[in-house]
Amino acid sequence: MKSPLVVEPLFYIGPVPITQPVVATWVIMAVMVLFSILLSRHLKQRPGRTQAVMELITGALDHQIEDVVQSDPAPYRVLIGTIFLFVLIANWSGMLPGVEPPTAHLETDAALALLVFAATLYHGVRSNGLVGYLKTFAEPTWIMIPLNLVEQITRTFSLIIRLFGNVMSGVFVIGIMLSLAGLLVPIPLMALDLLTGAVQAYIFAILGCVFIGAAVSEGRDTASQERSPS
Amino acid sequence: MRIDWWTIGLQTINLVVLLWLLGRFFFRPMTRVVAERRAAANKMLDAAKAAQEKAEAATKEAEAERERVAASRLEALEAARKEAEAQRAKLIEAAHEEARRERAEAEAALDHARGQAEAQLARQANALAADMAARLLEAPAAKLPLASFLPELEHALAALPEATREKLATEAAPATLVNARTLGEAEQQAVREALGRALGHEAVLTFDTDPALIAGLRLSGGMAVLDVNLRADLDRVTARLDARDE
Repeated sequence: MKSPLVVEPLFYIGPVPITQPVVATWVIMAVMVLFSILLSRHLKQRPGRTQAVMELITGALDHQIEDVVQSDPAPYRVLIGTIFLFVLIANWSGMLPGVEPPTAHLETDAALALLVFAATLYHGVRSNGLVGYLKTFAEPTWIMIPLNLVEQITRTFSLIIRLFGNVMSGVFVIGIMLSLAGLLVPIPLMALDLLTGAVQAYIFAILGCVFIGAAVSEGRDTASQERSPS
Repeated sequence: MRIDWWTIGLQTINLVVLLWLLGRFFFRPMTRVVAERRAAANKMLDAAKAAQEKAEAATKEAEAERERVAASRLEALEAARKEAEAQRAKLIEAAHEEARRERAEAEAALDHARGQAEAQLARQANALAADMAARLLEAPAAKLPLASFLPELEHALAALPEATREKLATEAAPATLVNARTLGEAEQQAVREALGRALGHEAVLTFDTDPALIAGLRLSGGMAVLDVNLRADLDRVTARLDARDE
């Protein structure tokens, strides 16, 4: 019996193996983009129900980002919002029969975490400068440099593993339940999975936000601390 | 467990593409529409505020206008009141004047009436006096002899114009001699003789009696009436008194 964690290529484009998570991601992307295009064509000053819900979501995201970063949410809105919406939809896509959520595979989570990591670096460097950002690793003292470096890696991995573990375990539990008692019994677990999926999407987005916010504000704190004694 | 690096790479690319697409087709339009709505709302609020300020200004102006109108109304009322007072004073003055005039007229009328009454009273008194005198004279006058009146009658006849005297007591127009008491034959004869002397011709007389004469004679014939008696004297005295009293 092969491991359920191993993804087998569905087909090849040239030398590139295309796996099930990649296809699922494409479908989700297509749905999201199509929905966005349709919605953006019918935006009105007096919002309809759908537009109102979407405005509510973006507004709530803005509020969350602002709370965490303590500054204008505009530069982080697209990244955090996309991550949140994608992870949410990907997690919930498992409810559709025959679909395995892309986030139940380590590769997708790794790609998401990589994105957050890159954004952390980018925003850290952009707001503090390269030297300023590197200096934040020597906070509070230079002895902390190895720890801080390790922290960057470990927290990225923790992002990956947290999302992967939660979603994958949900999928597994439902799979097992289905094989034991197919009718009605998995429904509570599926409901729980919905909750878990939403919570994980929120946690992933907020943690990404916290990391970016920390990278941005650590430099700011350092700068203000350096200025204040003089 | 095996990590599929191809899948990681593809998923990363997928996510970056999704990031771009959603940013372009979802977040940017949403942000724009919210910002536009906020701007519109701000504009509306500004407009509402401006309208409110305008309305407040209009209200203030209306209030000022109302106060102005009220003030002018008070002024007009005051002017009307003053005019009414002046009019009233004028009317009162005119009424007083009228009253004074009417009182003066009434007093004059009263004076006149009193004068008339007094004159009337005086006339009555004169008449009464004449009456009293007549009563008093009645008894002594009866004793007066006829002869005492004849000279006076002759004198009166002499005073008459010649033409009148000639026609008096003729056969054609006999004269009437009235006496207070009835004359005897001798007395009648004496009268005829005396008159005949005065007239120059024989006197044709008829005799009559009237006690109202008290004493004396009245000769009447044609146009002439000669009174030689106390009644005529009393009447003359009364008339003189009346004339004096009026």
